[in-house]
Amino acid sequence: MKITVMKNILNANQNKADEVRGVLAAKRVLMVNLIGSPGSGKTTLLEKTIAHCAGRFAIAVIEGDVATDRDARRLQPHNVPIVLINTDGACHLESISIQQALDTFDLDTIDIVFVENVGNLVCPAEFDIGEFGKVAVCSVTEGDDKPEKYPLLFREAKALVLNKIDLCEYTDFDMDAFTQSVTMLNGTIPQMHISCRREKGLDTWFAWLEETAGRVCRNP
Amino acid sequence: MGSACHGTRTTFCRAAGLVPKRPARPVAKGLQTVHEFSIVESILDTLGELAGKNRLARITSVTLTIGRLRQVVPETLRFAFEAASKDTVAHGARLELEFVDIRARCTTCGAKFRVENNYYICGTCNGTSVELTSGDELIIQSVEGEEA
Repeated sequence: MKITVMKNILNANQNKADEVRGVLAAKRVLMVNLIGSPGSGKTTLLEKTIAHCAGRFAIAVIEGDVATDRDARRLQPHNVPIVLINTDGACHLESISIQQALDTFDLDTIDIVFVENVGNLVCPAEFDIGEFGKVAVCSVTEGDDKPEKYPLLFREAKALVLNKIDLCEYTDFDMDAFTQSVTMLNGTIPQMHISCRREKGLDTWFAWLEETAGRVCRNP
Repeated sequence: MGSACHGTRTTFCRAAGLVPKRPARPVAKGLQTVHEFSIVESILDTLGELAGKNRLARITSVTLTIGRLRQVVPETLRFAFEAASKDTVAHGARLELEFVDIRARCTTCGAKFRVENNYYICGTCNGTSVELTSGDELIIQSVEGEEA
């Protein structure tokens, strides 16, 4: 017996993601999904961002890691609501976990939820978690060929943050080749070149965030 | 491992049970760390539902449509499917994979083109704003099985 199915394999995750998106839209909460390799600087970027947003936007964080609470504990001193999800080996976060994490927040008091996804350029890009947009976080020390090697993330992301630009002179990173490869994949994505450690270029990231939050949030 | 941190607003979710429990399917050690495993789990859930609704004793083949933008390694997918389908209605099923090219449409001039070598710029007007028309599919196209 042959049955025509024509069903999205990730239907269950997608349905939950659509529910999450609906709730966030109704509450006028911006959710940003930070995706990048381990060590690209996602947590450091969050530290800088939370500090900058103090008094401007109410922030909450969903922190995803295979194991440990190290990143969550780094963010604790900033005194924002944080939920840590240890995935016990899974390489990405899925929408069901995000929905349950969001249920622990009072979304009426939050403007922006940052999801720091599991460190991985591959799998997190495959799974919609109901976010407004993915932000690709990569770093100079990973090499300039990552967009070509991991096209799905760079194609889907609404913004790209290239971190550790202060280390360019110590590597073979070709900035022109990198920006050109990103433009070929996604000609409209804003590319922001920063150094979290040296606090260079962060103003471009903050400007993108504020402009986006201004459009999405309840009380920008 | 995991505990609620009293006096702070940090919640450790293993204690709160926020990590969804995965079905106890037999899989090779470490296989759950690849996303093909999540994909296979979703496929097997659907196959189980289809078998129940259509009174199938076993599934003999599954045809998937996979867009080339998806980061699915065929060998890993097959390995995950074989490992995870043991003791299920899909044990021994043949997995047919049909791949779909990445195609796009320029939103500036409307030109349609096939994307090659990650080049998403319109060849007609050099526009950089394009939308995908195919290539990101991850679909169960059809299933064959033996009726009970």
